[in-house]
Amino acid sequence: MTTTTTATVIDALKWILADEMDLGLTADQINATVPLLEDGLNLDSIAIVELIAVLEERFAFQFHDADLRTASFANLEALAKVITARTAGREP
Amino acid sequence: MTEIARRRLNRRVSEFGPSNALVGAMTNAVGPASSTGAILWGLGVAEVKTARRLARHGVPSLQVRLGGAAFSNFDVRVETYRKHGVEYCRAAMDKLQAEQGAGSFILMGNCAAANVCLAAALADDRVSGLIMSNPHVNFAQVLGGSIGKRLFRVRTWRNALGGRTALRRAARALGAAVAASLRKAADDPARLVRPAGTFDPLRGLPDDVIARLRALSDRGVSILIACAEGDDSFHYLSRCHGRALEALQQSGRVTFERVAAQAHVFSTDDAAAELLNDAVSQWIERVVAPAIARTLRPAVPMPGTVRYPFPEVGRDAGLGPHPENPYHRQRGQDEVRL
Repeated sequence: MTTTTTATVIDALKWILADEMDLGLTADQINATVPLLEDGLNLDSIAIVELIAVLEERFAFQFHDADLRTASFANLEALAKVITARTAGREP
Repeated sequence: MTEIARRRLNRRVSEFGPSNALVGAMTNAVGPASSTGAILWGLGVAEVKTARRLARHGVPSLQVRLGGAAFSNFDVRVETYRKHGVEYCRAAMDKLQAEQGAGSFILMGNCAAANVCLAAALADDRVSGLIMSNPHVNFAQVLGGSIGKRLFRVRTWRNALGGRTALRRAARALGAAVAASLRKAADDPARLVRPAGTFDPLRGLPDDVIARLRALSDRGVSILIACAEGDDSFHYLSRCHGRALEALQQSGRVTFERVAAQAHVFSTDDAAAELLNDAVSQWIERVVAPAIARTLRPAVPMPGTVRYPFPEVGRDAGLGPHPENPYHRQRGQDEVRL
């Protein structure tokens, strides 16, 4: 159940990154394990602040203080796990 | 700034300041806003966390970063900080004042930005709180922090002259300290030059840092200096100004926090940076939150947006503030002194 949810969130994240963050990539070209920061998609601090705002708006949740660590933004899998944990048990 | 980066500036982050040289992200207060705002240098995840903690206590904040080439090129960044740091702090305060009605400010920065915040606090009376984490220290200060004070101790020379010092070991220690300092200086030759008289925030803390901190404290500014114990700033401040800092802490407005960590930067993901962040969070809870709570007022309808239910209270068309309503005083009249 959790795996399915995380996979769904990863797919949604790919579309958000492709559509909203102007990476010049399509959703299909984004790998869930590629780093979001250095040596990966190279999102800078501006992009991360924007991404936090976009994700909280789209998934209707708020990152907890404990989530606001660079590790949470390591790659899409890590990010999806945080989102899944924070939105678990809610009506879709 | 690249076109891609510019296109990202659409939600939280916007350009502002002289020639749009800065980018900033505003975090609104949760609930009623205090008349104190915060300027946080850095757009990292850790600063987002600090901004949200402040927001929960009613403090709106603006995270600030240099934009474009000034950010991506190290030399340009250093020069920009040096020339415009204080001016940019003021621009950020002006923006927060215009958009959130803040009248007094907490400034927070790490390394060179900490020194810029100190310089801005000295130059601008609106600053009521200062958070400096791992302030930048120069080569001479690093050297002073490691060996300087020991050389001038009577005991050192008495031991040496009395043959009680293992001279070979002392010489080795001295050599190692100089070599380590030179290695650091080689990364940034500007660190070799010590400022004379004037306070250049990019060339380390001012020599009279204690006097300047005392001046701020006397002015009512609350100050947190958080240093990782592995950072040069900790060695310099504790060894060269330890007693003076201790005395200053007795005043109650200055906190010198030793963080059991090696981190230099504030916004990375190692546990050390988390500890620095924790030190800032604890100071916010202990110093900022109670001061803000004393002055917060219940949220009131903005004049002109809500029709009062009793026309005899709200004059004329029933719009706008009523002079007898204590909650309708203009924001900024009662600035928070932390």
